Amino acid sequence: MSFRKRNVGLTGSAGADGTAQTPPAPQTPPKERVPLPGVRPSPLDGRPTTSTGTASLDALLAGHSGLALGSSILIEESGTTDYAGALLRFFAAEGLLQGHHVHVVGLPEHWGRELPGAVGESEQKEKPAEHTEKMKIAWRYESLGQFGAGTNTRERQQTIPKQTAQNTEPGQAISVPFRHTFDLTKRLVHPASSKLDFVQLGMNPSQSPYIPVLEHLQTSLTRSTTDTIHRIIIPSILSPALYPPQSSQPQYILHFLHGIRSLLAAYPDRMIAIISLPLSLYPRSSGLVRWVELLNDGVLELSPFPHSADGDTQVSRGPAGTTEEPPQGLLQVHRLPILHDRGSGTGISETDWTFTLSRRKFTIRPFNLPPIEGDTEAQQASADLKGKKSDMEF
Amino acid sequence: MPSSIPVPLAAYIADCLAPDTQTLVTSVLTTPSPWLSLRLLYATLYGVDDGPRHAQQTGHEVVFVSLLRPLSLWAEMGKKMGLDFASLLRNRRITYVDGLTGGIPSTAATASTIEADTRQLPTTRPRSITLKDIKDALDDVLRRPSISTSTRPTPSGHLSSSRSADGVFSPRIPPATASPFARSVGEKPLILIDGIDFLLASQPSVSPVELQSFLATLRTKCHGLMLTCQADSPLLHWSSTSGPGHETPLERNHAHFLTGLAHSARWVFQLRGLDTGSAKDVSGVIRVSRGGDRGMYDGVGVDDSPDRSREQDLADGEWLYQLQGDSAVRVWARGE
Repeated sequence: MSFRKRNVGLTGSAGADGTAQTPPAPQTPPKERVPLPGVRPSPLDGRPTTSTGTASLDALLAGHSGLALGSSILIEESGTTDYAGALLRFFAAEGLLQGHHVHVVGLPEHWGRELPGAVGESEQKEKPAEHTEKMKIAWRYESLGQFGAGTNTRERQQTIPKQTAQNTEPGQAISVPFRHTFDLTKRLVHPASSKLDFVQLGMNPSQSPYIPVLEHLQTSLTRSTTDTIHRIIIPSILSPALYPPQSSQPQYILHFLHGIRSLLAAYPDRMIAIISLPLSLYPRSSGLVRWVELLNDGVLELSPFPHSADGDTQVSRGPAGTTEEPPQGLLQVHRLPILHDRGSGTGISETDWTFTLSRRKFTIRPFNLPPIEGDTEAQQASADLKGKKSDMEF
Repeated sequence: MPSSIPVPLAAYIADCLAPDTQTLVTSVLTTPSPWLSLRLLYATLYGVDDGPRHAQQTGHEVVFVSLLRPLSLWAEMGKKMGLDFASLLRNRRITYVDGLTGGIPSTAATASTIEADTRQLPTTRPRSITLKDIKDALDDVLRRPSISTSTRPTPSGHLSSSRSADGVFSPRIPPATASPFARSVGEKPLILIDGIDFLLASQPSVSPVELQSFLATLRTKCHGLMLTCQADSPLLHWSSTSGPGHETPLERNHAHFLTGLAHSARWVFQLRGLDTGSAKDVSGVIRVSRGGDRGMYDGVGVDDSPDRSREQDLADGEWLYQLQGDSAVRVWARGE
């Protein structure tokens, strides 16, 4: 195939790009472009990708190990929790550290001050433990296949340049890794050059609240230089706490998302978007939500387990005897960017995953039921707990 | 290189190329339809048989309206299956109406590097994605001199070459020598509209009837009409989930529109996910079934009798398909 030939021809220039990110698979910076900060070619087909700020989410994206530029992801969440918000914060923080231009739609500015900080170099020493844990997971679930293993090798590679480059300034483009690890208990120190815009919705009830947003995005995209990546973050779209009542009119919301799609199509190598949607208010069984999903390249659904808050302590010292944290919810993959549309990527055999949000990271694992011996015990425990709980309540 | 058109589907796709045919492709969230649209496009341009490609010009010109997907996607996927969008657009074999980047000023084209090649191609951009503007853009395209809008009946000589599989209606002219006849003056283009239902969803002021009458008008001006729509269950089965009376106008209109389209289509290609979950080596299920447009040829004329007998030979069918990384598609029956 013709694109394979191109890969071979350009591998040499990939090594010279100075970002010290050279996964073993052949890669192609398309054409002879200068490497953009935080962008690397997909190991599968060479299209430029960037990190979502969450390692396990990157690994989920059909083997591209990053979000392909020019695509958007919709994260739906049911219930009152804000796991999607954590993913969006990681996404924003990653963008700021990479020097991307970050646009946040509809939120007040203090959101920017609450972004998680990156884990410093000295604290990276904990890393090896995580690696062994991941290795075990990869061994246990062979179906994880290529990308599980791929993440491991790549992460290990990353730590090397990080550790050798300890003395250099973290802001310098040379030493910036593809992906950072964030700590939710820390606050992000914004780099001096960071560009973070908060775009407010129009509140005029007679017209679309999204007009100012699209105008802002369009002008800032046309005015910016070609080496600026724009990250669009739209938290809790349509949530009545942030959005005026008319915003859920199909003619407004669908046109807005179509507009975002147009921008992504017009600037396919400079823009990515992430959107979260509260499902409790807008169920997936409604036609409007289905259109919202169809207008995004990737669709993930988070369904937190209702008992996860009090189940934590029980299961962690439970039968498995591992240090794995119990899953906090179910993550379902409904559509993946690039893979479903264009067929390029590693197909996944399952759509059901679990997620765990800890202080450090958002982990996505295959959804497996625990072994039976342990299960009875855990079930008893949780049944006891439920019994106690109901006793107390009634 | 294997044939671009999957073998099980070839006969159906060939039948969709008959004059005055409407074809409907429906898809759901997990099984988007671009690969099938491109194969229909390929068949229209080059015929179903994977014969000598240099004898091109056997097929029709295509007006391709894409409302939801960027040209870069079509070009990327087309390239892998032998459709060179750049040259097809320059030769005016395809006229591309870009409903996605309609509102974006074209100065953006200079800014980016990666897709620069697809940017400079001649495409038509409607002013906005409203029914009126799309209508205007299409009228404009159809009026252009390279594509004749003559209402004369289409001479069918060029068409026959694409159906050599048919014994009854075998081509008198082999494809290679058919080329001089292909670009006859009276030839009408085929129109392929991707995501026509978005017009309905995004504009509550447009009624399904209005959109249907637009399509009916369009159908008189073109050789054939191919449409892709979404058939996700929330958009269709509103009555079963939330009970009657709870559906929104969006869902009601979509269901009415899609049902109407299926009734006026000759063939309906349905793409959906596996009912039993997901698998690594199966992208989805394709079902080809007859639309409501079979009575149209009854008792029309002698010319159509081969069509009818041929159509009756084709039974509805269901296959599994897998979209592979190099844009090849494997289609096979269950158990094969």
